[in-house]
Formats: sequence, structure tokens, C-alpha cells
Amino acid sequence: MNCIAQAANHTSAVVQFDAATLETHRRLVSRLAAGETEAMQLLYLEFAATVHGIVRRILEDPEDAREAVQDTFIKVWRQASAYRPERGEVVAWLVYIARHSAIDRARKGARRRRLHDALQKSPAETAQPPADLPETVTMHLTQLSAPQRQALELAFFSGYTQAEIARAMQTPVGNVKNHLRRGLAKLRQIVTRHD
Amino acid sequence: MTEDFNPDAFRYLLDELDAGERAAFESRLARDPAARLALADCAAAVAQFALESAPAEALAPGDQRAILTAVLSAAGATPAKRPVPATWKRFGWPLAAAALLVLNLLQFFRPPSPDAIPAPPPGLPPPTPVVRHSSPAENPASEAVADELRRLEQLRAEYANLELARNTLRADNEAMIRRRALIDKRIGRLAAMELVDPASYARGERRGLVAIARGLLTEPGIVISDPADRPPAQQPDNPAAVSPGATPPPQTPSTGQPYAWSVFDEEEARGYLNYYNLPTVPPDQSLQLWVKQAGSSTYQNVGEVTPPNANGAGSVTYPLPKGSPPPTEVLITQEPRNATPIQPTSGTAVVRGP
Repeated sequence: MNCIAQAANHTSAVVQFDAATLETHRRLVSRLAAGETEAMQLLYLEFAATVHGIVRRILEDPEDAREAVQDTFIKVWRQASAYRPERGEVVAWLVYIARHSAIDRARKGARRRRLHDALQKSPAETAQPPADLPETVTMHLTQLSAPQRQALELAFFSGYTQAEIARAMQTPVGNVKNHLRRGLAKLRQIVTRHD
Repeated sequence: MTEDFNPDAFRYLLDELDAGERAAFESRLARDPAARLALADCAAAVAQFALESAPAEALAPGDQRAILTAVLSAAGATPAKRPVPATWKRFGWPLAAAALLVLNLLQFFRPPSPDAIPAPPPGLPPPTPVVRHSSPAENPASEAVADELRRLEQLRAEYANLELARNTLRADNEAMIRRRALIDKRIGRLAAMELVDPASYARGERRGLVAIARGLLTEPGIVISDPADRPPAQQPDNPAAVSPGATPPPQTPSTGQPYAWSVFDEEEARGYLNYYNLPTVPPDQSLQLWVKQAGSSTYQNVGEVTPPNANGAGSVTYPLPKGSPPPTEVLITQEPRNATPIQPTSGTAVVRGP
């Protein structure tokens, strides 16, 4: 069984996309790996806003965010052949590349937006979903407890290690691991599909 | 499906594993389909969290276009990397290196073939083949070629030295020009300062640094002509261009714009003007010097400008009543010689400033 077919039978996926769309994404990345720049344009049009949303959450400076979006798609182009469908959907792959690009840029000297904010805010305050999100979108996040969400945010958007998260939340590392594990387990229930 | 997440999967996705942990995790991924599925679950869960926490945010149209252009440009410059099979990764380079070594050895030990030497251009003698492992004594042609090469190398070195020397000379010349311009400027200012105070020098008083500094500080600066009220230059071949009854325009001896250095010595209440490129005026006309005091709306005539030399340059000093502040404006106009007006005639200003 080839990788694409394996991925098609995969049991979990990001809920925003149906199976046909996910299959389209995989085909686009295959075309990217074959060197088709047209596929790059299509993928960019599909995911530019998504990637921009992720990097804007990490980077304060809009100019930095724009450059991170650019970095992301250049990496996507260069690493297209390294994409393994059996290890995750294209959207998840893009999300991680975007996150890495933004954190790289933040570490290179740009401001880390969450660094001080996270240390100043209480866990409950950090865990509040953004006010402008539609209710349907935030529905899944409300299933996470405040510490679970804060730990995930610090890990994903601020690039903190578990030890750093423990210091920021003023809790032992073991608790942080529990928050992350339980939070991820809840999220897994959301994304799991039974074929 | 796994019951719980492997913490390493999460750390792997966030690039937090060190090299050893990462290699071990990837090795497990390669051999264990369950580990791959667990990783995919974790990836989807975290991506879901990220997408909900950071909703899509559209780029401005201009930014979107610019980024896409940059990405496509990078894509055109660097083609996507094709995956390399693991077997080739492992054995490819050693095999290629071995093949290259064999080819080099074959090339080294192979005797030269006369057919391999290209035919010379018409008019040139055929080249002498170079034979390996032969001393110059055994092969005089080889020695001649070597001599020629040495001579060429020597010429190349000499040419490089000449280039270097030329560049150095050019830089020196430019530095000299800059230095001379600077000196000219300083001489002009110092000359003005000295001439403004001839009485002091006549009395044998030495001017200290304070006086020099005061002279510098009271220097109003360069007085330049105002193109708006400068009279047009006379056309020598067309005297009819001068209207009867009107003041004849001055004849400009040079094409340069008239300007002047103006210095005022408050202690002596004496002004000095060093001017350049002033026009020559007809015999019945004169160049009059006017100054305007601070707070005054009228000009005060302070004398006639000494007729300039052939280059339109010269200098003039003028006294003002004791205690007068430096004039705020200096003006030179062309006026009738024997009927100098009380105020400057409009339309005949030659130099106005500062």
C-alpha cells in the first residue's frame, strides 16, 4: 500500500476539512514534490490565510508575520518531497512548518509576543478564547480546562519547553505533562474519525 | 489506535527532541505503523488546537501578491528536492568516489595521444606535444613552452602592479583635488578676516584666537546673486537689446554666478566684502554697495564697489558708526555714476545676501 492510500484510510483528521479536500491537499503536495509551481500557487491560495493566522498568533510585528508566511511556503516547496502522509494531514504539516518559521523568526530577534504576556497573566485569563472567534470554532477549545489550554498555548505558540511552561505556570513539570497529555487526549477525541 | 499519546510524539512535532531522541523516535516510526498512527493522531489534535486558537487571517491583497511572487521566485530558483533512496544515500557516495579514483588513475597512466592535440590556427606552427616525465634537457620544446609560460606570468604580474599603481595615483589625485578645494575655501575666509581689520595690523596688535573666533562667528556668510533681480547679460553683437533710457545691463566678464564673502568686525565697526564674478559696467555706471541694518527697512549706501579686475573679483571695506551690529543684508547694485540714488534702484541688483 502506498503512502497516499495509507493516509486516505487514516482515522483522524482536522475537523474543518472533509476527506475529499484532504485528498486534494495531498495531491497538491505530490505535485509540489514533482516541481510544479502551479501546485504551489494553489496551495498558497488555499492556506495563506491559515498560515497567516498561525504566525500572527506568534509574532507581534505584522511585517515579521508576512515574512514568516513567506518562509513557510518556501520551506513547503523545498520540503515537499519529505512530506509523509501517513504521519499527518497536509494541513497539520503546514501548521507545524508555519509554527517553526514564526518561532525561528521570533528567536532571531523579533519580539516574542507571548513571552511576557503569558508570565503576567493568570492561567484562567490566558485560557479565555479570543473574543472575536465564532462560537462554533471555539466549541472544541471549551472542552479543555484552563491549565490544559494554557500549557498547550505556551508549548505551541510560545515555543516553551515543558520546564519553561512549568516555571511560567508555577507548577511542577509533572503537572505540565499531565495537562498536556489530557488536553491532547481531549483534542484527539475531537479529531478522531471512525471510518 | 493508541490509548494515550506518547509524549515524545508531541515533543517530536514541536521539534523539542535532541538529536539522539529524534533519531530513536524516527527509527521507531520507520518500523512501527502504530507509532506512525499515534503521531498522526497527535499531529491532527495539535493542529486542530492551533487552528481553533489562531483562526485564519486574510492577508492584504498587496501582501498576498508580494509573498506569492517571492515564493514562486524562490521556487523557480531552487527546485524542489527529490527524495533520495536510502540505499543510494548509503552507498552512492563511496561508489562515486571509487569510480572517480579509477578514472583518474586511468587518465594518469595513459600515454598522450597525438590525435588528441587540436590543429593549430592557420599561420601558426603546430604545437609541440608535451611528453610526460621528460626533463628539459631531453625535450627543448618543453623548456621553450615553460619559458613562454613564465614570461606570460611575469607580464601578468607586471600588469597587475601597473593597475595597482594607476589606482593609487588616481586616488592620490582625487585626494589632492579635494584638499586644494578645502584650502581655497579656508584661504578665502582667512583673507577676508585679515583684510577686514587692517587697522589692527597697522597698530601692531596681534589678533588672538578670541578675535579670530569672533571674526568667524560674525561672518555673515556667502552673499550670492539673486537670479530674480539680476539684470540680463548684454549681448555684445546686439546693442539694440538695451532699451533707450533704461539702465544698461552690466557685462558679465565670466559665466560664473556673482558671489561674495562678507565679514563684519564689530569691534572696529568695519565690514569687508570679497567678491567674485562681478560684471563690468559701462563708464557712466558704477556698482554701489548697500547694507541694511537689523530692524531697518531701508538700505544705507556705504560706498562704491572697487572696479573688479578682469575676472570680476575684488574686495571692498566699508565703515559703519561705532557700535553698529553686523548688517543683516548686503546688496550691490548698478547705478548711474554721478547720480547715486538715496535708495537702490530696483531691477539692477547684482548681488544680494546673505
